[in-house]
Amino acid sequence: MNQVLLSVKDLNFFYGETQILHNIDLDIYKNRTTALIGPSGCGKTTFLRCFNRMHDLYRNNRYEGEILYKGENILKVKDLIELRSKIGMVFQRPTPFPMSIFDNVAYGLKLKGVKDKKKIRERVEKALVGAALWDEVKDKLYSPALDLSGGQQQRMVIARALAVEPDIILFDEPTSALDPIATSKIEELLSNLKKITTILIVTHNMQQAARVSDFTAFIYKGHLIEFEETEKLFTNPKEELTERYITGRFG
Amino acid sequence: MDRLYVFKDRLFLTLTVLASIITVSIVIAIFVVLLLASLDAIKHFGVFHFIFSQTWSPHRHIFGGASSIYGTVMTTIIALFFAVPTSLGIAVFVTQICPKSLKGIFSYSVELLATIPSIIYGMWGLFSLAPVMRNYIEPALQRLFLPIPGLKVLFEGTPLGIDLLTSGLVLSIMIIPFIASIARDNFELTPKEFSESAYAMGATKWEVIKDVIMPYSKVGLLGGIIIATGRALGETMAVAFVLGNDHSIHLSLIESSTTIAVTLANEFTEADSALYVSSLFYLAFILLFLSFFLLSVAKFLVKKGVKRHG
Ligand SMILES: Nc1ncnc2c1ncn2[C@@H]1O[C@H](COP(=O)(O)OP(=O)(O)O)[C@@H](O)[C@H]1O
Ligand SMILES: [Mg+2]
Repeated sequence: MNQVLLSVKDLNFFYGETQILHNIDLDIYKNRTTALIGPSGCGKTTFLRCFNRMHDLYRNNRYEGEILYKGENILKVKDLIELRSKIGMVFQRPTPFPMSIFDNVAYGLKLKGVKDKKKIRERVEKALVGAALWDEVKDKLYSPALDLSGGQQQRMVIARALAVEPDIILFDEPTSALDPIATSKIEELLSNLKKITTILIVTHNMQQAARVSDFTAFIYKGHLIEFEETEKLFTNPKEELTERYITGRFG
Repeated sequence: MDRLYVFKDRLFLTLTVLASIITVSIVIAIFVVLLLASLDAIKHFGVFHFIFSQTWSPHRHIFGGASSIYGTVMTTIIALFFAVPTSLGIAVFVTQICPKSLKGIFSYSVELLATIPSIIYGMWGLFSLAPVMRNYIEPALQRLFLPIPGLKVLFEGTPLGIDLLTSGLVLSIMIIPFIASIARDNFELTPKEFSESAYAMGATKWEVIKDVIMPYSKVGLLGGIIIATGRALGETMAVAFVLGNDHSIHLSLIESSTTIAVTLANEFTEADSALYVSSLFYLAFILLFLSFFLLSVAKFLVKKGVKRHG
């Protein structure tokens, strides 16, 4: 029933000499939402950025272990461009590129060298519908993306990720820069998205994790403490650390 | 106690207001004085004729500014032609490619170019660059471009090394530090999340630079380029040695010419008639107007850019 999409095996990660992640083992299930929770600085962002090898952008970063994806170890993959077109990412703050809404959403297709105008238009529309933004922007597709509100920008960025039909989208606290109304729209959207893709989301907001996710992983000081179905983890945690964290009794 | 504070406040306010009033008055006064001093020439030659006539003949008391204006504009265009791509290249290299440890050295050495006095650039142009241009580069350019019909006019004539091309090159080196450092600052202002976002979609380094970093910096860059243009327009010493002082318009880039600033520097001392002096003031007025106009546009764009970035 739960089909494994990605399998993390004994993952360690180092910024230079400093080890941040320790021996993490975790399965990510297809068409499910997995939330990563844990106190600030525990390594959630660092972990998330292993999946699309973002750490390769900077020097002296080192991975050990495996993230298995379609029989291959992501950490050993040579073609990062191909990898990143299969694994999308959405950041804390909206990151609209300085171009029109249409060009933003079509950007990934352009990078892939898709030339067929009709196909691009169809994909852009489909992605915007998928990101629950189509009705708001269909009359101004060619105006600058920077003119949208923060919440709309974030949904456009999600549409941009969706347009290349990725196998998984990584979200790093996607609502932390948004107001409550924009946040609830994104949460609603997240619940629908897992029908078409897989979601791995970092959040420091436990209510959000409880609301949107099927599975939750609790990370503490770079160690995976507990990984469980969200409902079980929040109602009946196995580990004392987890219980202390979710009940807010953390010292 | 309270009274003293109020007094100090007032005094400070008065001083700052005074300072700004004085600054503004000086600018206005310069405009007015230049305008008054050129009045003779304006009446005599009109606006249109002065700007478009290239006859500059002190003997016949006929003065047309076209050759000086042409030289000013051409040297500036040549300077920008070389300086803009070079500066962008430098900024891309410093911010995106070179290892962190070398970044400081590169930035610093480019900025060092800005500290060299312009007279030194002029001397370098005359003694080092001009002979190289005359003996090697210009003959090579002629071999390359003379056979091409459309480009022939740009490279006709005997290479002397004292010409528009050499002047434009000297100017370009002078303005590179301005454009390069403004470009570098703007590239670095592009929030990291934005370039990372593009990388995360599978963009290559070049695509990130082209699609995200450059467009993000567009407005600031434009402002920097316009400020550099203002400098190139008014530069005197660096080009006085390497342009010749030739009041006729040649389309060829390897012919001598003159600029407004060079004409002013060379000819005030020998201006023997009121009309001659007035014509020189007229040229000065045109130069001030050009620079003022460009700078206003730059300010406007930069302001708009700042708003954009939020
Ligand atoms: N580029 C980096 N170089 C060195 N240390 C880093 C870097 N980025 C983050 N860290 C450190 O790694 C730890 C985990 O950070 P992060 O993954 O951002 O935590 P979280 O997202 O859970 O708040 C923190 O102690 C942080 O200081
Ligand atoms: Mg984080």
